[in-house]
Amino acid sequence: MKRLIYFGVLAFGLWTGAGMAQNGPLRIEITDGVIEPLTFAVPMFEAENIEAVTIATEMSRIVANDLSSSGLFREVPPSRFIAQRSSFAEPVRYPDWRAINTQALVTAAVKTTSFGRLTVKFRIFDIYSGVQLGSGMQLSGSTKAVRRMAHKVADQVYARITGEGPYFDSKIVFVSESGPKDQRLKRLAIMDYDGENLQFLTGNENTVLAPRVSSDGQQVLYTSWETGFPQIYLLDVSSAARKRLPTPDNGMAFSPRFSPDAKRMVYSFEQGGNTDIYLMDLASARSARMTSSPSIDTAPSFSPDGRSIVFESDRSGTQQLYVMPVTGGTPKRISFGNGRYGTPVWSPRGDLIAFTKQSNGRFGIGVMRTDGSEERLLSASFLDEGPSWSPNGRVIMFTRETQGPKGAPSLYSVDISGRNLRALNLRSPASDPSWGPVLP
Amino acid sequence: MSPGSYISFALHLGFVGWLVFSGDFSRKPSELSVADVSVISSEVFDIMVNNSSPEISTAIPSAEAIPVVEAAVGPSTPQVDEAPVQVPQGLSQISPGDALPSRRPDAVAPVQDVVILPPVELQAPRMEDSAQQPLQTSLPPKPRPAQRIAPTAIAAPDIEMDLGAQSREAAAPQEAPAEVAQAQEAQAPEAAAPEIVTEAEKPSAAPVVTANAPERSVRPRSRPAPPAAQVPEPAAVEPESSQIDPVTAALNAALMAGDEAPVGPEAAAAPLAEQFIRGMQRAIAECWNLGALSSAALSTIVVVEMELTRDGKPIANTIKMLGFEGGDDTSAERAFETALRAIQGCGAQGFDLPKDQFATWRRVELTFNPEKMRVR
Repeated sequence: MKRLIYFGVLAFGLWTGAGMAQNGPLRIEITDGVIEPLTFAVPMFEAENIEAVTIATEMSRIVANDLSSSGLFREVPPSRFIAQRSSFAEPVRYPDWRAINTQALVTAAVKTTSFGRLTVKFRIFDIYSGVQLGSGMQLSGSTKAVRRMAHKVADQVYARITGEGPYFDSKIVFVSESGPKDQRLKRLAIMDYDGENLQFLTGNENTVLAPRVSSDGQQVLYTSWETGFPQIYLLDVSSAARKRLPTPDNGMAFSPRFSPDAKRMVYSFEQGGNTDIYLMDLASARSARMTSSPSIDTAPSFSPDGRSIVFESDRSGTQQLYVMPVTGGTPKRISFGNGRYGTPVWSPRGDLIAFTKQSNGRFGIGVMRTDGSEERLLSASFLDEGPSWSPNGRVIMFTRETQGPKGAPSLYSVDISGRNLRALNLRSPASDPSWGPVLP
Repeated sequence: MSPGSYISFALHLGFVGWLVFSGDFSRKPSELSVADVSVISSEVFDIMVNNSSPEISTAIPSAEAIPVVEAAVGPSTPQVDEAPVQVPQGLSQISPGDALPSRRPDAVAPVQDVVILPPVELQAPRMEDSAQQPLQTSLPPKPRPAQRIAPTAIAAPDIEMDLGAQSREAAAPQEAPAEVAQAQEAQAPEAAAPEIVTEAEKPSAAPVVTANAPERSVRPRSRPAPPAAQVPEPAAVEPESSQIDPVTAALNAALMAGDEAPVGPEAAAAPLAEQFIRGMQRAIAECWNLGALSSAALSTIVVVEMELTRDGKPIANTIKMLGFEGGDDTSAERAFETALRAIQGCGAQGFDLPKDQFATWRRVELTFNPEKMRVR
């Protein structure tokens, strides 16, 4: 009897196994792929009334340029379009877009209303999958904010497809330079992320350096020689009003940076040849010393949770990066490669630290984990320095200065993957970028 | 003239006079009442029919601002080394005589009233239809604009692939490598220095097929446990195996008879040849484009299941994500969408698989592991 039961169980097991072998899926692992920009098409936005025709054309170009500038997308030129969309509500003919190798499609309609208002509604389609990605969205704003609204549309498309946060609708504060190299005039300026809408925040009477935008984009810390000595100033972006922060007069104060909540500031103070890092509460204007070593400790930057700072120091004999808690403690060295490290900046996502590295007679911008691991150099040239993170932590902007008597600084950006290195097209030399948050 | 005629003349004259001087001819015409009529969209009509109001949010879409977390240990009172420097109390205001910038920033025009529209039905063509049929474009495909403007001849245009070409090479996005090189040249002129490690490490556009067997793949923990296909090894039951073979064979034969696949049990149970597995890996890898993925999605492994038709084409509504590992829901969704594009982009013409083993590859489980591709 036992033998019979055993046979029965065994037969059942084999029967199930055979069934499974037949019905079980074939398993394949894909570990290799391609790294290419995703192809997209932006047909000209539909103008729902005659007043919106020009705006629709402008907005569609801005959206396409934004996406292309990220390096993650490549536009399919309108000259290749097969489908000629006539209405925003018209169903998408996916085969037409597949035939020209389009992977994402953005359709939109623009309408102006009374009182100078503008409405844009848009949809995103995944062509290969034949589905709309997410819900359609619409934005409403002033007709004077066409560029901002276009950036917002591009931000939504970018975020929906990539999974990264947006960054197109943001501002950058930087130092605009003019004049000959040995008598360079410098003043603070602010512009859109793509270089448009340039406006000056200070005059060019005094040399200014290293502006740092607060996390809400409303204030800027910078260093100025206004008193003949480098001191730190706080500037309100909307009114351009500024005031000097009360650092001691018997030394040089420089390299300021906001805490994430913009209530405090870390900065460097040099006195008697020794430079240390201080923390100032901006409400009470009280400063407290954070480091105390006979070395140059400078360029501090907060972690996004506000609990730590990273800074550069030559306390080990060479210029290296260190991390320490804001509450005090022993700094921990995180950089150990060949060369000198400086101007560290913590990523807004908290996962990486960008820095400037000097080695082999060249400067480059690099990133590393917050513990110093996985260091990667993203750029290299005669002089690259001063990285600043985009609000989503995906792009780094920095200063690149060319060599020679006519050499001039300009702003560059690079994806954290090291791809899409590109120069920002500005009319005059520029340096020290500080990337502000995405606008509300 | 008779008296009746006089009376009739007088009455008519009086009636006409009344009409002219005090009747309706001098009165203003009565105003027309016109009802406003507007055309509504089908979406609004659907909403009205369904008696539901659209969800309207006045909130600006999430801006993904820099995450700010207050320190648990009160950073407002840092315990630092010392506070040797005497600092003034209060902020010093710049004197009014200081030069102010000649140009002040204009107020940034706010973008307001960002509204999320309700889902819209567009009667779009069904994806599975296009995946199993030759693509029908709205215009004659020849000549293609790209062919006219391309500097060199294009080997296998998309449209030819779409019209039924059987070669696997035609299923790949052909122009991509050339245009990528063009973009890099335009965007990164002198920066192509040897020290740009990540550029040097850029993976080739031509995928390298690994020889990893499916059993050795990294699998998400959240994936359902796969059925133990090879569990009952015949060698484990040496004494009785020969005795039960006829029973098993009979049971299997009965099972086969009820199965959809009209193939013999030997063909169904035989493992798929390595060349077909590699061919499928290669085909999907050519379309698995990770270039527009977030860093988080690049750290996410997704397992996707799909069913194929007898000619090796993916059935669209059977493609689903079984599980993921290494990321959150959003990054997994983005990673899955990328996998979906790879399957549908390069599987539209059907994978090269042996038809007599349809039962073996009818269901496929794909593990997309970007470990080698991710941004570190």
